[in-house]
Amino acid sequence: MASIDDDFAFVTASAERAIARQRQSCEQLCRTTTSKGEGLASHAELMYSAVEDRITETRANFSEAKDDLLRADVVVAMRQLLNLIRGLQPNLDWLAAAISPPLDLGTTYFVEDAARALVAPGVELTIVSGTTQGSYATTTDPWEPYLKQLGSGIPNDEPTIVVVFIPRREEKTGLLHPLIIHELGHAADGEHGLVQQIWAEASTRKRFAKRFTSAVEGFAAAQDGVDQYAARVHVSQLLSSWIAEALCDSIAAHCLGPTYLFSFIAEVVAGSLDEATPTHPPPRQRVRRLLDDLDRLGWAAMMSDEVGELDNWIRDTAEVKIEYQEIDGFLHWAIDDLRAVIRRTARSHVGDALFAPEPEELAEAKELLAAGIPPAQRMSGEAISRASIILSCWFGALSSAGLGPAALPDAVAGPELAEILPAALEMSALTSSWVPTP
Amino acid sequence: MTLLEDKSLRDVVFAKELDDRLVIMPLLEADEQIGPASIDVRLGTHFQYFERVGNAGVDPGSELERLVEESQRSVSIEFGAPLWLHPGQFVLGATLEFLRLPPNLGAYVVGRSSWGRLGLLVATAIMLQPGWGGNLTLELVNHGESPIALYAGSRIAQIAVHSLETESEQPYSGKYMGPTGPWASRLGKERESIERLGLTAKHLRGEEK
Repeated sequence: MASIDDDFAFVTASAERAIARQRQSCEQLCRTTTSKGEGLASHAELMYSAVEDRITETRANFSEAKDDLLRADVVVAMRQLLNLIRGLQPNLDWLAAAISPPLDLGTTYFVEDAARALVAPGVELTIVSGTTQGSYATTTDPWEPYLKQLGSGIPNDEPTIVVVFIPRREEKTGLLHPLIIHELGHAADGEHGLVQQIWAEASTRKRFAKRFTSAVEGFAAAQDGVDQYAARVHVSQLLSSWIAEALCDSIAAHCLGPTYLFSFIAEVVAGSLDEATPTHPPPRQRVRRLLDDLDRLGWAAMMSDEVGELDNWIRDTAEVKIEYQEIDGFLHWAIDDLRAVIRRTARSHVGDALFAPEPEELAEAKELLAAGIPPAQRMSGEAISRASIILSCWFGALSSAGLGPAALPDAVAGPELAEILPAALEMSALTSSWVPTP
Repeated sequence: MTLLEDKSLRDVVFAKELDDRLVIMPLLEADEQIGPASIDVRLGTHFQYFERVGNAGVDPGSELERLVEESQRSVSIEFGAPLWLHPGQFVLGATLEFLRLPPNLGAYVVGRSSWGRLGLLVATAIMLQPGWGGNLTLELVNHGESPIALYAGSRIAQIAVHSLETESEQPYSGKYMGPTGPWASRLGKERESIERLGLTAKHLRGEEK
């Protein structure tokens, strides 16, 4: 009969082997001259050390356990630790992506600049293009919860790590990469507590507080066995998720203008228009809120002039009102009710990264693009902004694709921008960062 | 046909109408790059090289395009980063700048002597046709004795621009139009002409009438 000592020795050796292999693989990946992924590697090192300390601690606990029952508990703890180690595997994929970014240089410069502006100047952004990733997503300081679980943490002087996941099929789809800016909004919220700011303002509104209380009571009544406190936590979590989505949409609209609306519709709306989920408002409502933001930012005339037919279809689609019941009804109402607070929070956070209509710059970009030239620099010598470049590409691609609703997916699929857009983004980044000869 | 000097170069580079302009996108430092009778261009960030292992070679008479595609490897380096070119090594690079010539101008690309003295050859197909546009593909060969670090963004070559007596009636629109990085050989597109050489040979031998 196998002894508990043998069990413990077996599981412990497995855990030690697993963490050693993780560390070796990480060190092999980092054996390059690039500084990319330094933050991720540093966080991984913190994880590995914390895990090794926990293995030592657990081994001591086993030695000190007074009976087999306590020893069996320690074996379980070691098994859990082994599973945690195996769960660290994604770090290696992310590190590999940080060292060899999947996106072209131009787009990489663009999203890294945006991350510095929206999240923190020292942020380390890694884009991971995954085969299992169906849509765009993000995570910030992904190992922090594990480190806390192990009784450790991330020192304050470590950079914030943001990992954005994109579907591998869209690696070369430059017209959808603006969706990354929405993802960076989530990271900005995590860093600056933006949703909390919105909650703080919402809580001072009597009408909002009344509807919130009513929604909590309704939810508790509809769910047998859920008390008021649990119902309040649940409804708060749902609303926080919806606010976060609306906020990130608004941040992206402030940074990119109509570009984000086009990317969002092309990627999201065809799959689902009125489906509300626990984490996301229905896309139709999001489109309506985006149009509202864009109109207030002064984009309506340009959108009508450039892509009138498509603009009309988007507005007609957004106007259709769907009645939602129970908790979804409250969430839907709340996002509309808080729209001005969300917009103000986005505008304030975006600051200098605001993209306002600049018809002359856009006209220059369009002229160059029409001639097959990457639109990167104005005649004055200034860089054409990355936002104007992508918008001019969207307008050009939509015009080529016929301006009807089907133009959106057709524009995304068009091969003609596959080289010009990344080239223009790269050239614009170099032009705006250029340090002249003294 | 006149070689353009600095003032004329500025006139065409900053021409108001895009159709008349010698496009250099981006022109990071006009004062530094426009010389007495040439414009310096910079090395871009994208390269292609031939993967020797597992590839037999290239034969324009066979499926060259596919072979070239399968045997070329791409690499990008960040702006300011070095690419080491070893003695005898050949890579395709491209200018950082996207160039486009109006129909009344032609140009030649030539190496800069500072690089040439290290043994670096930057281009063999040096003629730029009126109407051509793109990031110019550079055929980079280290003919020197020592490895050379090529920095993306450094001034690597120069173009000498000349006016034509009259505008070209058919500005360039061929198979090398519009690249935004190095393009491998498209000699495969001339396969038919090579096959015709074979037919001619058969006629010469009296095997075909």
